[in-house]
Amino acid sequence: MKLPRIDYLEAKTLPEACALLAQGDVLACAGGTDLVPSMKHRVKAPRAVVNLKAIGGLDYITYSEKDGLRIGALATLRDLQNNKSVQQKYPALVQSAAMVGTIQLQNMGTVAGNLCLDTRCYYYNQSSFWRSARPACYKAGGEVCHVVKRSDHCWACYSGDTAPAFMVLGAKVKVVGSKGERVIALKQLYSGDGQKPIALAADELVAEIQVPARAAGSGSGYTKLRIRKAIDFPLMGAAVWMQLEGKAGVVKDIRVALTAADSAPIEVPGAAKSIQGKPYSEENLAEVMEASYKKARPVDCVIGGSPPYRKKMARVFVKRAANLAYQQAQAK
Amino acid sequence: MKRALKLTVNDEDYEVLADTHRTLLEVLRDSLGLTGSKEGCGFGACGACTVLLDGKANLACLTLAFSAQGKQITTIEGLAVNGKLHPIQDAAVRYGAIQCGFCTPGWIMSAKALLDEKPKPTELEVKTAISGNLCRCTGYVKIIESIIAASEGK
Ligand SMILES: Cc1cc2nc3c(=O)[nH]c(=O)nc-3n(C[C@H](O)[C@H](O)[C@H](O)COP(=O)(O)OP(=O)(O)OC[C@H]3O[C@@H](n4cnc5c(N)ncnc54)[C@H](O)[C@@H]3O)c2cc1C
Ligand code: FES
Ligand code: FES
Repeated sequence: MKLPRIDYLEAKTLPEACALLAQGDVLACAGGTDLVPSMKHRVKAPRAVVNLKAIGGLDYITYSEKDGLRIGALATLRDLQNNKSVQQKYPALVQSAAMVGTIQLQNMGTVAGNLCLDTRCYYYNQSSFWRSARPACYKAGGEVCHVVKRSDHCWACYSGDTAPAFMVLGAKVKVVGSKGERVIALKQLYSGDGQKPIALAADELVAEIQVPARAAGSGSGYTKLRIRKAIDFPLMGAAVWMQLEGKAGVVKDIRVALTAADSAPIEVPGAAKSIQGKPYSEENLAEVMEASYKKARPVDCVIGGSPPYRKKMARVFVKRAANLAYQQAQAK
Repeated sequence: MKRALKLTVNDEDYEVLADTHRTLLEVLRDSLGLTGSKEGCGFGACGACTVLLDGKANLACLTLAFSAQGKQITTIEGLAVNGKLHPIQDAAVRYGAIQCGFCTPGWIMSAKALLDEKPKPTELEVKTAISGNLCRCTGYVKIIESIIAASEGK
């Protein structure tokens, strides 16, 4: 399928890119693996795109005990997996990046683009011809949601793989715009609104992702439900971070986040309470799994599994991710 | 809007006039006549359009042609040297890893990227490397066998 007529712009620096975005009706293109399909489907038809990949020096990944992990806006999902510090300290990041789409998409797709992934819906990610059989939905500029009938808002599903992993690791993002820069918790990048899920102004870009240095005795893991072992977006994805203390491996703290569970990646609130101070075991994890199940609210907007099934799978995948996190936490 | 587009494909420089909304796949096929790369889905899911950009497997159907300027682009046409097939191509023929042939240029480019980086991959690494290349005909077994054979010089 062909792209609509759009102009192609390049910027040499991030502020220059922000200035181009501020002109209006211009969208940022990094790897393009989310944006280009949306433009082919005509759900996005900007006047122009600005190719961020023309900006030099932004594909860095650095680690130090003082500053933790710093990831430039243009580092790819492949760069993230290949980085030695990330491999040693943040297995959840490697696991989640390796589960995005395909090798080709991981080579092209950026970490920042993955975090800024648009929400998805069966009724939205379709050609204009396909969509013309129904009235336009909220996300496509209309007044109706085809998934949750009579809803007053869009329920499209956030389906990025790396966001929950970054979230449990306590990541922040540095945002730059024409009016300056700010650092926000990753959670604040998400509006929770399916229609406009990324809480950035039109002229703002993610410049850097920051993850605190790995704490002693901590570990992380990510895994997801999908039909095929490649290509597919998550039907339910879970990331777990935990910290152990003492010889017996008592859980000091645990954080859980889900993707494909709502219109934003979501943290499971109060996950730590039930297991803190107890040794890690599947039995002691039961309440954390239950809290995750309650927090997930998948709707019928993706193909591959019914919402009740996907919701139940939150339990299973939280358990699997927790086992992965435990493996790292108890190894020195 | 048409503009001058400079691409380096298979070590040759090309300059053409192209609309700014063209994908790399469209320019390769329609402007440069390099029709080896195929359009299967056009949406990033099948891998039939796989080409190498600076040695890495990329999807030409999702790449804006203008964003590929300044990169070394390798397509299936660039693999044979003086009419002699690349070892992966040769093994593909000998192992019967081709039926209709539509997916072949794509997975061969994925396999080339793998073998250039890792000359002796495990079977799992081969499977992972081509997991973004769908084939409707062969059932994959012969494809995997042929890539491993090429890596072993068989
Ligand atoms: C077949 C297929 C399967 C896929 N499967 C998965 C999957 O399993 N899991 C998954 O997570 N993703 C999947 N994806 C989506 C996509 O490939 C990845 O999410 C990828 O990481 C997106 O990154 P990108 O650089 O290509 O983003 P782009 O397409 O360039 O950008 C995505 C969005 O983010 C914005 N953006 C880009 N960079 C920035 C920045 N620095 N600051 C602010 N905004 C920015 C863009 O304007 C755009 O709206 C799949 C895509 C396809 C086509
Ligand atoms: S045509 Fe590019 S991935 Fe299918
Ligand atoms: S040989 Fe026909 S699709 Fe692979």
